[in-house]
Amino acid sequence: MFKNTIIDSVLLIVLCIVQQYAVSRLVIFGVLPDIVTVYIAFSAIRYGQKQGTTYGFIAGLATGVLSGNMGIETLSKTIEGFVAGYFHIPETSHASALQKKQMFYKGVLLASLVGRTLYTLMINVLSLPTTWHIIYSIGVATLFTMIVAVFAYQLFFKKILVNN
Amino acid sequence: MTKFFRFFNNNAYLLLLLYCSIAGLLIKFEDSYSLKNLLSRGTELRAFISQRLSDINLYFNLNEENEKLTLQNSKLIADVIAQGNILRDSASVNHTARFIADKPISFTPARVVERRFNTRENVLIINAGSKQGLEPDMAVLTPDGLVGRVIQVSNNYAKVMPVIHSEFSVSVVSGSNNTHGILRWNGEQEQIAQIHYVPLSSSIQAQEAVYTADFSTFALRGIPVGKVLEVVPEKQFYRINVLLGVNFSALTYVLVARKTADPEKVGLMRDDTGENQGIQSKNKP
Repeated sequence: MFKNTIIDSVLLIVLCIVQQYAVSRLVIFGVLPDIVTVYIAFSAIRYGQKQGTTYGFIAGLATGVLSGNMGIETLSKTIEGFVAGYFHIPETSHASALQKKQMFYKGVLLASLVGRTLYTLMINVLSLPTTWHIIYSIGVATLFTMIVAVFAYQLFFKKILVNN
Repeated sequence: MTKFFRFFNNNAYLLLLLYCSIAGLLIKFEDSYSLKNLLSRGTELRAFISQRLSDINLYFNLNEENEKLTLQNSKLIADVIAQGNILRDSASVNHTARFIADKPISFTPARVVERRFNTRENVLIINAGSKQGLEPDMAVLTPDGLVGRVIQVSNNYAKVMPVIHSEFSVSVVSGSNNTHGILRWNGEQEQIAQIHYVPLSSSIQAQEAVYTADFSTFALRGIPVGKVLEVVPEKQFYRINVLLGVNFSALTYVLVARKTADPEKVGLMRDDTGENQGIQSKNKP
């Protein structure tokens, strides 16, 4: 368990760096997908709400140090981990592969929506132009994050979650 | 302390509360010195990673960058060459035009289109031929001096035997002392030819200008050839080195003198004068 925590934490920090340097170059329609959110949601679904919240906190700190918005990033990522934890699949679960997949997608969707909303509202609410713009940026960013989640699930997470 | 964390760790809500409180404090004290210091270190880290990533990216793109630079270089070189040619051509054309305007003799301007230079058998090809009125044995010159003589003519081109050909010879006269001799090139230095058969009794001196003489079978009288560089007395004659006026390595435009020597005079000279002894028909002086 401890070994897993260390590996996951390191992986999380690596993903934060990748998000900041690689994914941030893939801006489409003014928004970008968030691979860190996908991994936080996956951790929360796999290990539970407490671990998810802790991973979210660590990821938030790391992203905050790199981006310069430490407080806001920490808060939004912590809450992302917490909400994704509601879709936790215990090891003793008898859920089918389909159900596990649905849980994963729901977890990522909710985490992304909550995280993006919090972040967008807190970053500088007065400078945001219109409600439509807020909804657009949250919606499109969540859509892109969900696309990344689909690929990540098919390539990596499916094997781990279904074999659990 | 351990009990405190265990207490929080047992309840997800309390853990969330703890983390959110920390996040709240981070937001509240965002402007504090220690946090700013931490963030500035983060910025440094970010800049460092960015720099390294950019270096890696640059490294992989070096090939492409080099290709672009090479292409750009080649375009610039082509431009420089083209502009240089225009400048040189215009200078040469102006120089030639001024020379033609000063002379009453009719000249045909031509451009050197090919030059074959080897040790002794140097040949020039110019882009004017029989259609332009050129004939063999016409003198070829530039305002700087005698270039050679036409030895073969086609419709649009002519072959020229330059002064720096081992079989070329021409009658010359020195400007100040009227000393006559025959100019030939010994195949050594490109810019230096020799005047032969100048007796020791003559008073030719270094730095004297040398022109073509009236005795020549092809060249007009008074075409500059060069100037005397060195006068060395030998057994019977002087050995005289002449610095040629024409720079053959930079020859572009030439003039062909339309007036050839009187055939009657040529015939007589071929029979009688020592100037032509041992010289074949194509290198009559």
